[in-house]
Amino acid sequence: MATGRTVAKYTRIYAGDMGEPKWQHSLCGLTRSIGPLAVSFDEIDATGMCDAIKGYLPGQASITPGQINVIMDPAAPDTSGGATMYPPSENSGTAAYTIGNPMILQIPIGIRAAPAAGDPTFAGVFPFLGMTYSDDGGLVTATFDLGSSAAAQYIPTYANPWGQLLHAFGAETAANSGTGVDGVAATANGGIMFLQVFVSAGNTTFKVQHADANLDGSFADLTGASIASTGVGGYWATVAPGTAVKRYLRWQMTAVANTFVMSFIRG
Amino acid sequence: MTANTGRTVFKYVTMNVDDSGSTLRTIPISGLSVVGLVYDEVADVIAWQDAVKSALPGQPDAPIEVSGPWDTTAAQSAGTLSGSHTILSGLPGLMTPLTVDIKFGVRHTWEADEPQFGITATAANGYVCTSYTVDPGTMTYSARFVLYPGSAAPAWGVAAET
Repeated sequence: MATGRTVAKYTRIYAGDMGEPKWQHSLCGLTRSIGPLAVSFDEIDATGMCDAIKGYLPGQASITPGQINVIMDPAAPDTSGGATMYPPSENSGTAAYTIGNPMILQIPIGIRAAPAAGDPTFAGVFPFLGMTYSDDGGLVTATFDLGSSAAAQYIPTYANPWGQLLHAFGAETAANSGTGVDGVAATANGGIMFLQVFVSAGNTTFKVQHADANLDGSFADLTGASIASTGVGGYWATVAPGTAVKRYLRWQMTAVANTFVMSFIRG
Repeated sequence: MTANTGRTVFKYVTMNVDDSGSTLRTIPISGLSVVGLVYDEVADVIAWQDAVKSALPGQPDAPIEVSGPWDTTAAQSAGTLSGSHTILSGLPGLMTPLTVDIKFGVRHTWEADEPQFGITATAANGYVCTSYTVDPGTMTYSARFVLYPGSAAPAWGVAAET
């Protein structure tokens, strides 16, 4: 995994409707712009009369992926999870996105290359509030408004949308016996696991495992970071506040063929 | 080298801020808001009978907004650029006051006796980060810092914050 600066073309956008149908898609092939990816806190003015300077406390957080502007493309939804995806449209007949439903998003940012395990990932579940079509230089585009807060079905325990990618988009058929990603240091406040399954051969248990040493034999299940997948869909699991999370993390699953993306946000 | 006086250019301006573990880091910036104290201009002290309008300075404020390239370089010692995302992603909402030190090197890398603005954090003094935003289209970030309630005011000086 490289570090440093990067450019937009290495960003991937994985989106899925949390209602029915549960198809998950990679939108970057048709996306013109997204963002800003923001976390901002209300600035609660807590200044006393004789304070030397105005002072503020962070209040409640707003976390938002901003707007997604995509190229309108009436092709049928691609349920394969491939990189060339169909246009999200409530009018497409076989739409994957329904206005009003929560939408799960994972947005890994690759560092001068396609996203790899360990790269920063913005993730959350957001209300899909509306979509408008417009003319962008003659091209028909659609803009998704994803709201400025978490969907009510998903109120995150932690006001932080930034985590690490544990598994880049791709297929696996067996349990993971490899090494994990380095979180630089252990943390002590739980976290959130995000999972999007694009193609699945059947029910699968996905987990996040953690370790103090980045060796296959050192990894053990992280309590709470377990999802029983029933197939294609978007999922998350919260690891309780106060839970110790070791320095190294890796994905794990039962031996079933799946194409998926997984990330973890430390609390 | 000795401290310079005179004019300078922005390539010698650095933004230094504590990370979530209270270690001072230098982050890459390409934009910086107005730096310094700005006082409320309290005009309620004017009487009808005054010949000239007047005002008194009320409480100051000193928010800082920075922007720059989004970067995941591992944390480095202050003075060497750390990744902006590496440092800033852990700061929003943190209730621990942070040291902020904006250094203005004068035609060379900042050294003591050249201007700086900031505050050294204690349990009751320093800045908090209230916003961190990433624009994937340009791969840039912006962040906003305001002072912790009851904090001493940051100030201009010529010695580094610690």
